[in-house]
Amino acid sequence: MTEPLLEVSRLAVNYGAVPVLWDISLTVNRGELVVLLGSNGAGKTTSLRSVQGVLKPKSGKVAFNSKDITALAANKVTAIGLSLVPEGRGLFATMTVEENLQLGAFSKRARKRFGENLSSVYELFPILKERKGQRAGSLSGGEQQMLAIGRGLMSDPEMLMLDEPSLGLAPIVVSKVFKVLEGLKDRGLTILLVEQNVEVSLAIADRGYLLENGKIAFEGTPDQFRANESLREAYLGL
Amino acid sequence: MLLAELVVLGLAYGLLFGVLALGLTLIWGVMKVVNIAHGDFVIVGAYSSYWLFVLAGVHPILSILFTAPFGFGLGIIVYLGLVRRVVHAPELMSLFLTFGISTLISSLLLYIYSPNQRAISVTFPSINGLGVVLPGNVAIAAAYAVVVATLLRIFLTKTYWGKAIRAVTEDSSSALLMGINPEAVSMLAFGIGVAIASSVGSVVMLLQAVYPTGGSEFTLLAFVIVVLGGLGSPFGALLGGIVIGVVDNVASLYLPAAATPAIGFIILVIVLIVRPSGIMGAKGR
Ligand SMILES: Nc1ncnc2c1ncn2[C@@H]1O[C@H](COP(=O)(O)OP(=O)(O)OP(=O)(O)O)[C@@H](O)[C@H]1O
Ligand SMILES: [Mg+2]
Repeated sequence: MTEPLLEVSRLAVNYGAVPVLWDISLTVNRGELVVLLGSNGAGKTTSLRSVQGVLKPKSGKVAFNSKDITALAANKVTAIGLSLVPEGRGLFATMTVEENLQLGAFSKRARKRFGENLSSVYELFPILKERKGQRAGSLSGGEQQMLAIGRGLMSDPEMLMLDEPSLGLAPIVVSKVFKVLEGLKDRGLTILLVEQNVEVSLAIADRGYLLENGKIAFEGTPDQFRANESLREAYLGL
Repeated sequence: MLLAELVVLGLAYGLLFGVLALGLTLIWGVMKVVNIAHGDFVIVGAYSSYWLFVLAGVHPILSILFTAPFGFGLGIIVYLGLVRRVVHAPELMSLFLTFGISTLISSLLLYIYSPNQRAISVTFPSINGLGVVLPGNVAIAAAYAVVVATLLRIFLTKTYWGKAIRAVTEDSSSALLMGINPEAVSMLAFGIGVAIASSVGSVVMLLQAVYPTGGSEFTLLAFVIVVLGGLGSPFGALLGGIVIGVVDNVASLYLPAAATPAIGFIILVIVLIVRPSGIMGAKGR
């Protein structure tokens, strides 16, 4: 039974007068892990930021849980269970690991389940528990990404969006992060993952979209992606 | 006066002005607005305490119970009515606006209360220890500063809203993603900043006379301390206050009175040459 959790329809976004996204439509069903692929500057970050409400779209609609959230402020979108782990992690580097996690649980919804979520984040990433008193900025790149994901989970989300979590990480750390995402999906979390790491992300995804110059150029299952000759050559490097 | 005495005196004054600067740095950190009216809110607090004392016999220290919440409310009104509109505008706009607020406050005070200086005489017994004598009023001022700095520290490190203030200061776009409403945090920070300024005004009444246009001196002092300590760093503001307080007082031993006001700026220039981000400022900016 597929029930859409996030529905983006005909989204168009400008930076000033410059159009960056045209007519983006995509759906993420409850419990799915969907990957949004695309090369540098394709508009992946812009898409996520528009869905979250950080950027105001020029036209189009975003619905979450059948609720129109197109005009909702980003902080309120977090508060209703849709969280973004931003590109470059956006950690509060001078604050401790635990303070970062506490801030992840700022919204009322999240504060209610703070203790529960904190122990499950520490269970998922034991290293964060070990380092809880350390400044976030002193962690290694991989640990920082885990903290960013953990902080996203602290908001008690129904759906998590992640913007290139593998960026700048060593391959062994990347596979660790992806294993975590797979585990979160298995626990029922809905995930929209933005990636350039095509092979690894198709391996864990249920479906994918390819963004090209601000438009959806292809959508399908991982097998359909792999089977498409022109995609293989042009984008996927498979 | 003894050198040791001047150091202690400078420390006490430095703590008080460090706390004043804390208010300024808190506001700047959250919304990147330099509040030129900061010192005028000190004068508002001082006048409030003056009249509470003259008309109702309320002790200036006790009147903090009024000037702090009054300042908080005033700050929120000024934020919602005016400052909010320029938070996202170019920085020059917010400078103009807060300069306007400063002029408005001092003109109003001038109109209502005349340019005369106002002072009250309340004296606490001086404190003797290790051959150093500290005037009682200055000791009370320092105690006030320690209490406020401690409360603020607890607030910023232990509460959700305090942490939200630090989060917005460090990275406001990330804070937004945490579900933090930057507008609400800005309002809170402005309220706290003005509450600090206004309650410092009550304490200032114990130390000196005030007059309606005296606010700019406090703004300038707080500004020098904030830049010296590192913009946006609460600990830096306290440290900067102490440095300025001690050096100013010690310098008065060796320099003619007319030259001492320049000392703060000389220290500032030297620190900025050696360390452009201030004593506690973020590195590499
Ligand atoms: N703040 C901005 N102002 C103007 N143009 C922008 C801004 N941010 C991004 N752009 C432009 O919008 C387009 C899409 O950018 P976006 O960051 O969404 O791409 P991306 O797919 O996330 O790329 P990357 O893989 O490099 O992260 C690019 O052409 C970029 O130059
Ligand atoms: Mg991007």
